[in-house]
Formats: sequence, C-alpha cells, structure tokens
Amino acid sequence: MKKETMYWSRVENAAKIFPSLTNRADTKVFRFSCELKENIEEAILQKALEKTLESFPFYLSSLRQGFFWYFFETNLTKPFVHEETQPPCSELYNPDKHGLLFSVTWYRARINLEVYHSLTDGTGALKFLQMLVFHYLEEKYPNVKEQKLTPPCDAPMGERISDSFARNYAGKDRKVLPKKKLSAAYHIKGKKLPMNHLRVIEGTMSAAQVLEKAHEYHTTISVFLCSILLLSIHDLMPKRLEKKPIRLSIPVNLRNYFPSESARNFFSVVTVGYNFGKQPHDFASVLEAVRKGFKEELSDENIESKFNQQCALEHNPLMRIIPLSLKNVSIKVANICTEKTQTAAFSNLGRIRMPEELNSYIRQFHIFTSTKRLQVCLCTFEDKLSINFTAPFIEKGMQRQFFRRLTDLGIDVEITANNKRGNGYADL
Amino acid sequence: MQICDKCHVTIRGDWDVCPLCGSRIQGEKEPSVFPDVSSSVGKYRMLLRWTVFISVAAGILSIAFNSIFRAGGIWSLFVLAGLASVWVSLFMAMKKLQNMQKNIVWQTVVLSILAVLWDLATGWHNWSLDFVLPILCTTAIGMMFLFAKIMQQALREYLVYMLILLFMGGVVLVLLLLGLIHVLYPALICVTGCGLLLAALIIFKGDLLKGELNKRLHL
Repeated sequence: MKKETMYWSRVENAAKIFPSLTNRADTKVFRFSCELKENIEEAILQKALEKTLESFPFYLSSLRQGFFWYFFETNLTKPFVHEETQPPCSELYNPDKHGLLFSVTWYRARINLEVYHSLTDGTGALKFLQMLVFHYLEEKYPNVKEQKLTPPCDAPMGERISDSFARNYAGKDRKVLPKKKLSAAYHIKGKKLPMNHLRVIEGTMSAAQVLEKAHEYHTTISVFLCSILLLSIHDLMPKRLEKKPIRLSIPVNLRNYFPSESARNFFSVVTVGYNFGKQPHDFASVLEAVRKGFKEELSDENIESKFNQQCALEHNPLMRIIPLSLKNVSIKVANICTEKTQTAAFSNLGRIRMPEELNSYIRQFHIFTSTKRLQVCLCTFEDKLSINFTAPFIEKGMQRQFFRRLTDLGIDVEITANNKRGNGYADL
Repeated sequence: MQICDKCHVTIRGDWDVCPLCGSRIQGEKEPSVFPDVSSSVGKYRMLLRWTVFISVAAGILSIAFNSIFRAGGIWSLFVLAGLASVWVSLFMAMKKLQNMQKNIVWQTVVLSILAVLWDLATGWHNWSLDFVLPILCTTAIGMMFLFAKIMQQALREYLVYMLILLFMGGVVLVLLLLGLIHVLYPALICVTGCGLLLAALIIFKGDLLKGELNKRLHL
C-alpha cells in the first residue's frame, strides 16, 4: 500500500469546474440506484464491488490540488459497502480528506452508487452500476453464473479511462458559432429543508404509456416531458415574474456526437426555454417551442461549437497560468452568471439495457442528483420509466403539478419519496 | 400500495399522507423505500457556541471595565486583538482538522503573520523576525516528521507540505541575508536544518521530488 510513487492523471475538461463549485449545499454528487426484487446481501455486494473495480481501476482515485489545476491521484483505500445511513447525495469530495470519490450503499432491495461528478458523468457511472449489478447477480444466483453472460460494459480498458475531451478537440481548426447572450431567467424561490437535505420524489410509470402519449402529440418523450415540466413550473410562478423566461439546462451526452467509450466525464450542456410572458400558454405552443429548441440546440454544428468553446477555455494560455485559487474564484463568478440564466435542469439518461436473462431479477433503475434548484432526471428500464425530482425546498408544488398533469393525461403514476419524518419541519 | 384520490397516484412506502399534496391516503402501507436518516446537531456545536459566547463576553466586559479604569490607556484593545488572534488560529485549526499536516502548515503561516502584526502594533522590536519566524519554521518541520512517524505516513503523502515549509525556510534565509534578522542562532538553526533537509530530499528522493513537482505544477 505504501508505494513511494503514485500514479496521477489530469482532470478532464468538464470535470475541472466541479471542485470549485462544491459546497455542502450543492455537493455535486449524483446517485444511481438499482432496485432488485429481493433484499440485498451485504457480503455479496462487497464481493461484486471488488470485482467491478477490477474493470474500473480509475474509481480508486482521489482528487488533489496542484498549484495550477486539480489532479487525480491513485488511492488504494479499500472501499466497503454499507447500509444507507446518510441523506441522499451527501458530501463525497472534501479537499482535506483525500478520500475516494464514490460510495456504494444499500437499503432493502436497492443498491445505491453515489459518485462525485468530477470522477465521471451519468453515462460513465451507469456503466459502473450495470457491472456492479451484473456481478452481484452472478455471485448471488449460481444459475446466472453458469450461463456465462456477456457483461453489460465491454469497452476496452484503455478506452474506458481515456480523456475524450483531449482526444476530440481540434485546437486551432475549431469551428465556433457566435455565442448567444441569455437574459436572466425565472428562479424558483422557497424555504429550504434544514441541514442541506434534499427532497427526492420519484415517479414511476409505464414507458409505453408515456411514449404513446408523446406520439399522440407527434414528439419524443424528452420534448413531451420537458414541456410538461415548463408548464408545471409556470403553474406556480408568480404572475409579476412572468416576463422572465423559464429555462431548463439539459446535459448532453457527447458520446452520441463523438466516437468515445470513455467511462469518465464526456458531456456538455444546452438550454431550452419558454417565455410565458410573451408566448401563448397552451400545451401545443409550448410543445412546438420546445421541439424547435431541441432541434436547434442538439444540431451537430451547435454541439460541436459548444464542445470547442468548452475546450478552448481550458487550453487558453492565460487560463492555464492562473493559480488554482484564482481559477476557483473566476469559475465561481462565471457560474453565478450562468446560473442566473437557468431555472431548472432536465436530464434524460435514456434506456438502460442489461443482459436479458437478468431482467427478471431487476425491478427498476433510478437516478437523481444534488442541486440547489430543481433537477429532474429520468431513465427507463424495460417498461419502467422513472422520473426523479430533487430539490432543496420544503415546498413541492411543482412536483405535484407535474405528476398531476401526467395523471390528468391518463398516465398511471407511482410515487416514492424520502423525508417521511422530517426532523422538526412540517411536510408541506 | 396506497392511493391519493386528489393526485390520482399510487404511493409506495409507509406514508400517512400523500407526499405530493399532503392529503389523507387510503390503502395498505408498505415498508419504506428510503431509510429514515435523522441527523442530529452535534454536541460539539453547543460547546463551540459557548466558547464563542465566553470570548465575546470577555471582549465586551473588557471594554466596559476599561471605560471605568482608564489608567494604562486603551488596554481593552489588546484584549480584543488577543481574542481575535486566538480565534483566527483556532478557526484555521478546526477547518483543517481532517488533515494534520496541512494544519501544521496553515498554523505556521497564520501564527507568523499574527506575530509580525503584533510586533508592528507594539512598536516593532523585531522579535517576530528574530525569534518567532525561524523557531516556528523549525518546530513545524520537526512536528511534521513526528506526526508522520506516529501516523505511519509515507513521505509522498506529506511531501508537498514539507516543501511549503522549506520555502518558508528560504524566506528566513533571505531575511537573514538582507540583514533584517538581528539574532543569529534561531535563524541559523532554521536555515541550516532546511538546507540539510533539501539536500537529503534531492539526493535520496530525487525521483519522488521530481514527480511531486510535476503533478503539483502541471499546466
């Protein structure tokens, strides 16, 4: 364990900003859960974790500070799984502790993987969880092991730990579209839960039912649900603030645009919004605007331009020679400006596929993330579409409006939530 | 499975009311999906509050007494500055409690700055540079080794902090060369010790040193 030289590596582009923006109110931790049909056995999960780490050695790192940049350093501390005892998305990165940047916990039938965002993005973490569940089921059920199934993640190791930002950045030949300047957006205000707790509300529904509804409106699930979210936020928006647009930031998986099988960070963010003060309030108009917004924002040229801007900033000589402490300050300031233009975030992780033989053991997947505002994450497993809201607020009007709008359309929704017995605060 | 008639949703878990709208729900409760994580306010927080209160009270009382007993000038200012200094140092110590080696560096830096400020405020007798700076630096290096021994830390784990202290030793050397230090021995011991240590690091742990500088200074 006490080797004198330790491996270290650079922190990739998108991961660079998280440490500067991490605090107790926004831990930059997200959680992926897999709910099985039987309760979890800790010893087996531990074994599965050890096996999974063999394919993801990069997870055994901690984040350290250099003079100019953060960097990852190998950390051979053995991670242990344990029963969930902390509130969801609790702190993982502490600049003084040099600990691991992920944790695996379980509660009843759920396996929870919590990851600090610098380590990987949603797609990367999902691969880890899929492998973990795969190994768990193999360990637990001998008949599964006998079938010798193909693991859900089979990218070569080198690919998995590669920095896709560095590989795909064209440098001087980059194409960049002119930047659009965004005005201030509507901000959700409300009393916060004590101790920086997060309110998690998960809605599960039939993917087929939602898809059918989306098709009725000739659109996709993402556009359909984004529009409903915009309307739900508008439902509770004070009339006097209606002139401000409601904007959703939407993380984009760059693996769909560039060749990459990296299990580290590789994403960008686009924005889709609607101004209820200027535009009509009916569903069809919102839907049409969102559809157009998605089409423009997710076009190849726009994503490439965003990607190049993201990389250009990192490669800027001036930016590189500023000491880290000053970078932290400038990133914080830049973030305040960006946050002003955003209302909430919407993230669709898409369809999760496991080897078919394992589907009967798995009930569903969930994903949610720490946030200072309102965040919606969704993922689909078989026919179960889970839409998970996280927010630091006591009030949950928007979540209620959102799910009521869905049930009004005839979609059956099943709700789970945390914070049943709030300590000392009323469940409003 | 429980049902909320108002939201028209089914609810999993052992809820008494609908988690969306708060109205009464019907049906059979199920085991909760999330654990009940009720975190409590630490008892140390109360202790901390009392300590803060006592020191604030001491500050206020000293001003009050000073306004009655005026002999000796405005001595309450010293009490206030003293309290502030203790708190600055204590605050840093608590903030870096998780990492003792980092804590040693921070304390050395904070105490040095405080010493220079006090020296300045009390008519500059040069004691901060003559004694405090070199002795602090030497002691900090000693403590760092001691702590590493006790905690069985490898050199690579605290090398960067050691380098910062060596840099401080360099500052002492510069002050000595500029003639700003008037008492030779404390400074000489500090500078010699740092020199020996640096030489040993370069000769015996050159690769480690190079690697450390590489990763800490990469652009």
